[in-house]
Amino acid sequence: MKKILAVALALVMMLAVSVPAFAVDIAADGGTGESVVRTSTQNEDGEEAAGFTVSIPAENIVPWDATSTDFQYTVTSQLAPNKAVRVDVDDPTGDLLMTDTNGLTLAYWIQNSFAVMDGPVVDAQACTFTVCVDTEAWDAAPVSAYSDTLTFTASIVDV
Amino acid sequence: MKKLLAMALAVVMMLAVCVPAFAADITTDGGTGTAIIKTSTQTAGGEDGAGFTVTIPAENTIYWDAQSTSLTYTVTSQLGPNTGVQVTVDDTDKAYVMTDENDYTLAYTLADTTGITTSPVVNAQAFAYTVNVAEAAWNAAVVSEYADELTFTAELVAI
Repeated sequence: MKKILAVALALVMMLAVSVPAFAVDIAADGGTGESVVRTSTQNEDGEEAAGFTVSIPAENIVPWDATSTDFQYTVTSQLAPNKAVRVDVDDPTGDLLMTDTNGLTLAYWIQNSFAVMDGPVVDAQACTFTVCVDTEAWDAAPVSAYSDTLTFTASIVDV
Repeated sequence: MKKLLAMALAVVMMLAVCVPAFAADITTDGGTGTAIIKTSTQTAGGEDGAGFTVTIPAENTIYWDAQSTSLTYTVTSQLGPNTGVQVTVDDTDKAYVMTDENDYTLAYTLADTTGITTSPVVNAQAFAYTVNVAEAAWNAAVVSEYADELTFTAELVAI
């Protein structure tokens, strides 16, 4: 009895594997049937299609005495519905000070420090952030090359 | 051949100018990238941010019989780190003699003829130099208006 059951089960499994999932058979002349085509969110290699790229300029020059300097980065994304890329620009040390090779400092702050893209699919959407330096800070600073490193953090948010 | 090379070089240079230097691409959710902000020592108009002004009184009055008269000038500067302005006051013709319209003369000396700013960035820092006329010279002088021309020389020095 067990053998019979085992053989029967094996047959059922084989049939289940080999038979394509035909939902409808049209047997009558002029008959109709329906089928669904559905995309996958993965490509043929199994990689997730959703993704984004944030392109950040290597170096951003602030002219001397400029109290407000705009800089741009771009975002290209293709995400799920109601999703978008958010980018935050910040000074990782939190002190918002540019320094020169002598240890002299120049205070600044960042305007428009984050941006959320217009939608899930954007092509090189340009985003602007602004580096601001007070006139008083410029006036008090020895003329030198001051610099700081900014961190860009990208995340996916609901929109 | 030369023309071709020149054109190729021109194209390469144009491309080098046009392509922005994107340092980093962020492609993952929560990914980060960094960029540098750096000040230029030139303004947006291409002018050098460093500079100084020495303000010299057009005329300095020495009262009759005054053996020591302190006269001032001011320096405003914004320079590179560890750089100051040195101002030297001297008689243009090195004779150290004031003359009147009748060519009468009055000898004098100068003291504290060199001033150096205390910092790269100073705002109207005042300096005094002294014009000395000996009592004997006053006593021997015909009462008249004596004058001489002084030269102020300003230069950058390490401080």
